[in-house]
Amino acid sequence: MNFRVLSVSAMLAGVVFSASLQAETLVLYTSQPAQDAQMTVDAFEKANPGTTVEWVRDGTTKLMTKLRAEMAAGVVKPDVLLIADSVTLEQLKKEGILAAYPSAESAEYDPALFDKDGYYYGTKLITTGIAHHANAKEKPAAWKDLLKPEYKNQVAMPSPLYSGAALIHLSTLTANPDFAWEFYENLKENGASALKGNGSVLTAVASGTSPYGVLADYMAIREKAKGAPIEFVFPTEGVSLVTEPVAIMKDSKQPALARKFVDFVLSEPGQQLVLEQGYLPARNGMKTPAGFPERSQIKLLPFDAAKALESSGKDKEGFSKLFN
Amino acid sequence: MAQLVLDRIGKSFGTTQVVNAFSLEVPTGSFVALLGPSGCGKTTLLRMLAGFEQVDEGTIQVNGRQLAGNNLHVPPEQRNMSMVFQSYALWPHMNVMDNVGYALKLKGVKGEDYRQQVMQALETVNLSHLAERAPQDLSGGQRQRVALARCLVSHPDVVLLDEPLANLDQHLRASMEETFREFHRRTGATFVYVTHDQAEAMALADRIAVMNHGKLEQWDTPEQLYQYPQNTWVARFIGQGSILHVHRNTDNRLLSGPEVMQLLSSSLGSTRQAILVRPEHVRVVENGLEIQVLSRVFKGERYKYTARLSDGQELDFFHPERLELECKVCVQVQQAWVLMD
Amino acid sequence: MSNPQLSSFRNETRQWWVLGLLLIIFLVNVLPSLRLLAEALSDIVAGEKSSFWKVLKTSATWQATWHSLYTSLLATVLALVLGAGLAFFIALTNIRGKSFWVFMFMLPMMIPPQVTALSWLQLMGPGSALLQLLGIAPALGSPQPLYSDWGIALLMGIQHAPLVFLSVRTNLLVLPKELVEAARLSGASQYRIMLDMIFPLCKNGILAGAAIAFVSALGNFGIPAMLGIPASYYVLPTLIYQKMADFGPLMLNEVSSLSVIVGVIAMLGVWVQHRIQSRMPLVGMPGKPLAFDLGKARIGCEMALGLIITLILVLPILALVASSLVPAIGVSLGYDNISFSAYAHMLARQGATWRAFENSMLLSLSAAFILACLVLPLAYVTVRRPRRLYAFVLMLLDVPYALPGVVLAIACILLFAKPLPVLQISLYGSLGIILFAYLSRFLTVSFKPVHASMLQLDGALEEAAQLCGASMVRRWRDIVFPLLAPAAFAGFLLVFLIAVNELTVSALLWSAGNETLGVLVFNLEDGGETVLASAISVLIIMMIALLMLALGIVGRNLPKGVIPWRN
Repeated sequence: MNFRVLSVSAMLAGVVFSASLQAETLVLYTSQPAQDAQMTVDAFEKANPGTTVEWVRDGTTKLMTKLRAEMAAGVVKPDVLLIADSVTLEQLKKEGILAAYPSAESAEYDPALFDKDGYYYGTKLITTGIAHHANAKEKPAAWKDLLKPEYKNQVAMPSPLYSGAALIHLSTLTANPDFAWEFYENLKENGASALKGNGSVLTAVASGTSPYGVLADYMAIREKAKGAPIEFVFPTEGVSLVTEPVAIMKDSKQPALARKFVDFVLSEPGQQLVLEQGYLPARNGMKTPAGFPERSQIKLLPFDAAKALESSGKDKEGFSKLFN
Repeated sequence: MAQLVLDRIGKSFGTTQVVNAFSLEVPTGSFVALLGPSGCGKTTLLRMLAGFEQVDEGTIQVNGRQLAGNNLHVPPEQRNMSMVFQSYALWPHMNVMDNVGYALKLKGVKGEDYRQQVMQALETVNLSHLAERAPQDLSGGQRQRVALARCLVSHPDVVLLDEPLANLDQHLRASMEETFREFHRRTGATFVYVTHDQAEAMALADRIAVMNHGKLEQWDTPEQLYQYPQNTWVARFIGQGSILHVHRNTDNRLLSGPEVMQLLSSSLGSTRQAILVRPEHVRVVENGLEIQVLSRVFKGERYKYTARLSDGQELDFFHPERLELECKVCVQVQQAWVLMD
Repeated sequence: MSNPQLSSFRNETRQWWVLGLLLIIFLVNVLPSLRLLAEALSDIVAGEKSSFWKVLKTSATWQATWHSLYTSLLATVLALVLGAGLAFFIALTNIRGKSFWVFMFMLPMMIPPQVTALSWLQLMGPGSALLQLLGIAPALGSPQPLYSDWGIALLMGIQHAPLVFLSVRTNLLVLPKELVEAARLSGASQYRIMLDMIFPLCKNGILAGAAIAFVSALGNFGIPAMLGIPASYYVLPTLIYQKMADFGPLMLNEVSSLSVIVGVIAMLGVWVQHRIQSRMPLVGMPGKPLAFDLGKARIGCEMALGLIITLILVLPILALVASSLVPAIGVSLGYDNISFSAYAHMLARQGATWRAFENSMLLSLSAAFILACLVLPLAYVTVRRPRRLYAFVLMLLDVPYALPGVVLAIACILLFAKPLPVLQISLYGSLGIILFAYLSRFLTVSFKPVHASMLQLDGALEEAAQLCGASMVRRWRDIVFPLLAPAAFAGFLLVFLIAVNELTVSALLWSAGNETLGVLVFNLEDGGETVLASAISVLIIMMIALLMLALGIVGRNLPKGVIPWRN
């Protein structure tokens, strides 16, 4: 009994004191899948011996909730953000929460992929297209195919209330006169269901519950390589795009280390890692992963970031009204 | 010299007065019963003696030492009393030996000395062979005796008993009564025994305090209580008997046979008075007061009858033989006691 | 039964430790709720345009409220049938293998809700590895039947049935044997005894179990999240969760408002429960257990039990195992492609696994221990010296448990984001804030068994000790504590086992390096890494089963009834 008391007291003491450990660590908030985040952090730590990166992984929107709550309480924890979409970061830039950093690596990037003032930089190209079960009856080729009667009650989508990528997808389509809100209303009428993040759509499609789904490219292609019965299609009308940008927090206590991190993910070794992880690297001149078409072959739907930022609140509400 | 002195004890719960100006002097080493119906305040009084309840008015003294009253309240652990609870209150996580020896353990008695004292206490109640048992494995009577042994061990001044026989069956009760008497003889402690069962009280106690609605009705030996109850209520409560109303014309309280017979058969006299007639004082005779048998109960050693007098009042009596219902018999009353209220 | 007003309480110094205790309880338990209320109220005061009124006017709010009530009630009924039914069987009949049945039945409660949902989903969909193996998988595109209100209710009912079981069983164990024997003597058949004697006598246990099952269902997040959201069927916790996704600056206020609604409903439920339980339960010494002879029906009953256990436990776990062994999601499991790579990865490569394990163990053990220490004196004080104030405090205890974990987490964030005054220690972003949230949330779980035990503690036992000369401290050491210890240990166990796989609270409070096991599973599933999630879930179940077994062995030294699956 005594031993137990002692050991528990020791544990409690440890808990309390670990609280105050700030140390020389970089804190990263990311919406990457856990495995990828671990790989990125491991590589950065290896390239910069003596540094430790503590990372927090969560869906973009949940991550933002964390951040907002912290800001409301007057405490900000992360040094760098590596999250799904640039619209979110644009919002944060407007609120003056980010720090600008003109990275030298930006010379190797298409200007469309990063903020001209250096507040955030795209690191990958993640498109959202159509995924379907290998044994599914139909083989969809276009977005509008999902509205056909053969697809009734068989389509799953990620929700912009959880996924940054899904929000961009929504904004892209609804701002597009070819689709507009009518497209989503028709999807709803055709029995499409809104799930959580892309992960949930992957699960639904691969397990056959929803044979068809709207999904991020790397997820489907990666799993297919492992033998999962899933196929990915780049719809003929085009795909929406998120760049999983990286940004530095203005109140970061490790600005130098944060900049190193930004440089790292934008550098060639960093982008090589992205390639290995199965994403399309954003940097010019990089190869594409197996299973992907050439970059030049991917047709992007037009996208206005500023408009998307303005309408993001309304878009989420509209989606919520439709699908809830 | 009185050992236990209660002086005008009073207690209320909220607006209800539960014990009312109760005074008693209990001689050392006596066996005293607090007798009364449910709700009369006897248990509350007992708990005040033990120190589990606060005394609102009055004082309690034991051996000249004040224990309660006048803003003083000595906690139970310092009163050197012990108690046999109605539920026995044996600690289920300790065996019989530890239950009995707990008071000794608290005093720091250890080893062989401890064992000896505990076994001695257990022998007093014939339970030394069960020392290692758990209380759950004992019968009601055995648990009772363990509780008694536990009281013995600390050599208390006063032993309090809270309706200890209430949970036992008839046969066990009789033998437990004997155990209590034996126990009392051996320890020489003052016993305060709470019960609602007047037969039990009369069998065990040297003196009985009869309580009703928080007040002391009568404080007497069992014999006195039985023969000379103070008032109608006590008369009804103690023993069996009939309360008859007659026109009284004497000042005697204890009426002789002829006096009673005269009163019963006449209607002279100034005031209507209640008198108590015990069934054993009524004899069936050839010539006497004529009554009609109403009901009959077989008691084993005799029958108990209820009969009606000519003026409609009911009279209880005993008779060894069987009488038919509705039949008329003649009886003679040998004595009666006048009730003053 | 005597409930003695201890005269020693007159002593002024004793009052201080009672006040101190109540203060700690208040800080831990009530403060988060108050902070949240303050947040919501400041909003109401702001007037008509405030988010509070907006929330009240939205139909989604009321729809989610109705959904919450509906699924919770259904789940409670199911939990009652399962839990009380099994308790009666185990405690009152001569069924064989009691320890085994109890162990198997308690397991679902220990399994994290999201793991439960996961395993059932694996079982039922067209992609079910198990069904494919058996050749009875439904066709591609068939709707997932569990994505529905009854699906949610079913899984919640199974999840919370052990809570009812524990509550009723505690009641049955102290049923005075003599009462039932008396009924038998008057010629009552076993059936009638059940109806006339036993049901009424354990009414309190049944009602208490129903109440805690209802409150748990109301605040359950994992199951409605996994089963309800895909069907757009929202209950209050998931609605709150969804609102959090809208990260405008009004979010915190709206969430506070919604959680006030949940809080009010939960408080109502808790108040009703307290009213019913205010009657004194029976005093009895735990004696020999009853054992109705089932006669020829025994085999049938045992088989029925086996079938139920198979359905609610074995099949889903098998499905989970099957899903953890496939090389990639959706691939059918065959003898030639069994792959342990998921296990290898979780155990060897991901430091996160061990970190999460350590964190969860540390948090659960600490919380369980601290709470056990707190509730013992609290139960004693509230029973031995009952006051209206205490009754009110007791009601409040249930609130942090009834509130959705998501909401409690936000309250804690608001409370702790700034460093504590004077001490200048920041709890935010550490394990400390999660520990605090656990203390707040699970206080009532730890308290209930001890409180029930205290209510049944004959006051005469302490009085007898007093007369023997025992001071307050001695009485506590020798009498009260040993008799309450089994209940305190049961509370410890319950808190530990619930906390070790808790998700909803830690989902918002965890930060880098502070993940818990529940968060680990959830994040993996969220990111679509189902195979990994399944693997870690199987490992968690194995760990919990091992813990339960180990505790069963340790339980030899404890009195009967402490470890429920030991007889």
